Amino acid sequence: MNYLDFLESEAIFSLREVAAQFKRPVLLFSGGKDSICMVHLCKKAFYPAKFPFPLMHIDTGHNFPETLEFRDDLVKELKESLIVRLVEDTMIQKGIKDVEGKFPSRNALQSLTLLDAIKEFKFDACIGGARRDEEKSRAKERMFSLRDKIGKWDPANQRPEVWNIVNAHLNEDENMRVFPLSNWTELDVWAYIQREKIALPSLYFSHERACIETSDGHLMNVNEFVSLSPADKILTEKVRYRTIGDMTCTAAVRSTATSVEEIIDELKRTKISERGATRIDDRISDAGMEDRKREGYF
Amino acid sequence: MKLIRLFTAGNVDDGKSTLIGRLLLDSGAVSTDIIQGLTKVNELGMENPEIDLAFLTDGLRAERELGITIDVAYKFFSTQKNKYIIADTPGHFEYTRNMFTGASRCDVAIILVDVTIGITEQTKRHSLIVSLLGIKHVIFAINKMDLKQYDKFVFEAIKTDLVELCKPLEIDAPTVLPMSALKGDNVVEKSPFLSWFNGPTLFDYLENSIHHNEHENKLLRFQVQYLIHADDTIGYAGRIEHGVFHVGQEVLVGSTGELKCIQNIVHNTQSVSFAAEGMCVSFYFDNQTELKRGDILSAVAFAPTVGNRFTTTICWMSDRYSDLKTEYLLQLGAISVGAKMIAVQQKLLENNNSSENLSLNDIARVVIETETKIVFDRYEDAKASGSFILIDPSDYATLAAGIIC
Repeated sequence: MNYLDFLESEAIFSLREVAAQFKRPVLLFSGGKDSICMVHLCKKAFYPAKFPFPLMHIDTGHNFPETLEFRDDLVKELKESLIVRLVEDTMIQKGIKDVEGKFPSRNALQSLTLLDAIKEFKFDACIGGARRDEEKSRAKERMFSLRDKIGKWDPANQRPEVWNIVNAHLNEDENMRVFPLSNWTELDVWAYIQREKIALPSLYFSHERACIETSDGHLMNVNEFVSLSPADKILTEKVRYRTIGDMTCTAAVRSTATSVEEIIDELKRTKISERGATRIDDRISDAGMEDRKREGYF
Repeated sequence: MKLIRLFTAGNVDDGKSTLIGRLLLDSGAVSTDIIQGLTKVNELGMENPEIDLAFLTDGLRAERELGITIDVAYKFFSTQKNKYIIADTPGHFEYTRNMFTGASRCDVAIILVDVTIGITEQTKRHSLIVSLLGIKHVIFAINKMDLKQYDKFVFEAIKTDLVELCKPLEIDAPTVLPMSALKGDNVVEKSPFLSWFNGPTLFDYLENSIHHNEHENKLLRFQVQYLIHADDTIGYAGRIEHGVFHVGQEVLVGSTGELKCIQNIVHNTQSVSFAAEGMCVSFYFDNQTELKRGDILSAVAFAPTVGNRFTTTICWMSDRYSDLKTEYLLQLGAISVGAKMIAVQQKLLENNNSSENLSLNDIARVVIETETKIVFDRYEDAKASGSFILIDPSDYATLAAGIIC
């Protein structure tokens, strides 16, 4: 068995296990390449039936317009249902002031909206496209990762995950996060996109964009959420996005790659990790992701 | 490109995380910004300003603070030939269950032995687990050779002990390699200090000597995982665990003894005429067929056992004690059934506990009786239908993992 076939089979197995063992699962959808691959895998896992769960997007309000457009087109084509919950609504309900700063990222606030939505719909399992190669605390997480009744991940006390047996039992208000792409790397995802000819938002491919360069060399898109100072020089650069997060915390990379083949080529040569190249909010502390996950982040 | 899943085991401080760090670093799998991250952490808290290779895999704050591995970390790298999934499993006795978790999904074991100490209780424990799990490729990495001046005779003496250790465990022809993960000797690069050693580096061995013997097994096994209802049809979805199934084949439904003929096989979104081990597919039968999740399909020959009692080797994974009264939930793949432990026959490894009850990290031969009859195999014949977990019905904690003998 080729390694991509293995990864595909492993992901489909997990998706079917979710459908079989949980009552109210949901597929978290961000519009990025990983969640687009997840949708592709769901088509295979449940063919010829419709997905046995809805998609849900936790919308920070800081998404790239290209992402939202792609999301809506995809959902229309799939004829599956999409739930959208807005971080802004959570902020209003809870009286939370909007984030400030030059790059005001609502990334951490997403957890609150997600936890509220889980309660609202009584979701017992949330499927996400996170991968273990993204970050070192993710590398320690199980494929089926239990969260307690306040949404907390307890890394020191994870359920053993032996062979392919999934203990999916939940106590009241507990929730399972499921990561079928756990064993995929960034390159595996691209190899799969290439093999399966999966369509992606245009942001992933080289285009011209007005950017400013941060002190540590990140290229940030100029948009209404980023506050420019007189010292900022606006550059027009040929760039693409390696990950698609919010416009406020995702950096572009200089690139001339216009096709999947060229992207794969570029990634094989790069010396910088995916999150290192693109996320300006992960560097705050060495345990940044671990802390957010303890608070309920996916 | 083939997939190789390996894990490292061995005592605490034998250098497991360092070895994986070395493999990743020297094979070029680590990004520049991540290497910088490793030095950054060290500047803050550590005395040693060099890159700490173990920090590549010790991803939790508590692990970095304590300098130990608590739970499995998964790392990945690829070469032209292979994609590797590496599980860095903890060496502490307390975390044996996490080691078992990491090991259960692997096909290659690397057990580290500190050359300055030799074989320890953990070496024996891990070798036993590797043997129980039926892992085909076992490599002993004799690490820290630099601290023994790369002495050939010290290496040979430990090698002899290891071969002895392996004999009763039925680990055939273990590969024993000298190295220093810290200095980078014989991990990816050959070392001038080990010129007396004629064997391969660890990396060369992994690249060239791991072969999966797919389809070596004569059995045919498929467990119904999920029912796909669409229009008037039901697809019985699941993964083929053993053998090759084809359209037109008569298969035996273990739980009922019925014979059914496969009318269609769907793989992904297409009908195929046959499907083999490892593939997730759905089978279609005639309209009279009613199968349920957990049903095991096989050929008439070499059919699985149907029964409510079996002997098993289990690894107890909880701080609660086992007893002979509790009705546990037993989960075998997709089958879930009430079960009791009716006898503890023999403890293979124990943790200062000589009572009849099992405690954390005990490995023992026990007899289990299920509430109703189930379909199962011996683990050595068919892993998926020969392995199970025990769940505490009061709070659903996973208590134990078992291998049917």
